[in-house]
Amino acid sequence: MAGHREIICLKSIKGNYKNHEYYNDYNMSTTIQISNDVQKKLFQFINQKEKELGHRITYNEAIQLLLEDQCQKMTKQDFIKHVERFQGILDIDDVTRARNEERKLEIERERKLRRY
Amino acid sequence: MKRGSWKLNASENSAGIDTGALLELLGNTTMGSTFKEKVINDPDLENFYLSPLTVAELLYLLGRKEGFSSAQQTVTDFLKPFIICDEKELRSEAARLKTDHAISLADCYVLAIGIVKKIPIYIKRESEIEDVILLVSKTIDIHFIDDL
Repeated sequence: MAGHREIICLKSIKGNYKNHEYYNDYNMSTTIQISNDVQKKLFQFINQKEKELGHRITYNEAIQLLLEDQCQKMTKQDFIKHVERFQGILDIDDVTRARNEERKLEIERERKLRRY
Repeated sequence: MKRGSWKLNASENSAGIDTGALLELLGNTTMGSTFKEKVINDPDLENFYLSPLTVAELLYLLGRKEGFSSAQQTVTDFLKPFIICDEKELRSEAARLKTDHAISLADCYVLAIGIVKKIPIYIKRESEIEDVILLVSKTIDIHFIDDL
């Protein structure tokens, strides 16, 4: 298709790419077509993310990061109403007690580990 | 940066929130109400980022009270407008923090949001992490909801 580029996702069997650790999660065979403009933006996004993260990312991971932003978009007013709908659904004393016990255990375990 | 424009950096109009702050909000405490008024209602803040561990914490804390299935429905519904970070994106910084400091892994992931996304983080003050917060506050913009 004119003006479009294909991204061929690598088909891999786990373990086949011993020297490419980040391909190990992949088990897919899909070809998608994107416009040159989208490919350029995706490439810019990958560059930026690689700088931020300090390591390489794949097209698959870049698309995952972009999908992460696809939370339900709401106006600010709707967002506030949404949050208000949930205020008071839990008993803070019960939850705080349970959470503090968990945190205490984790901190104790962590301090024990630090001695080694 | 306006919504819909090409987004390379989450830093504008964004903030991270920890489990403690969300619990205060859901518990409708005085601290939670102040947090809502000053942070959630802030017209300049559009995107709220959470760590995937915060989601797990909310699930098990509510799950113990009302059953896991019901908690899953409640938490999923509540978190719809929040952005849940990809664990892989935070993993390295969280592990680095855990290497250097004796704090919970959940706290490490929240602090990692501040480092990776370069956004302010709103957390509830917990005595065991105060020393660590002092150490990392030069690199992370941390706000205690207790002080709002």
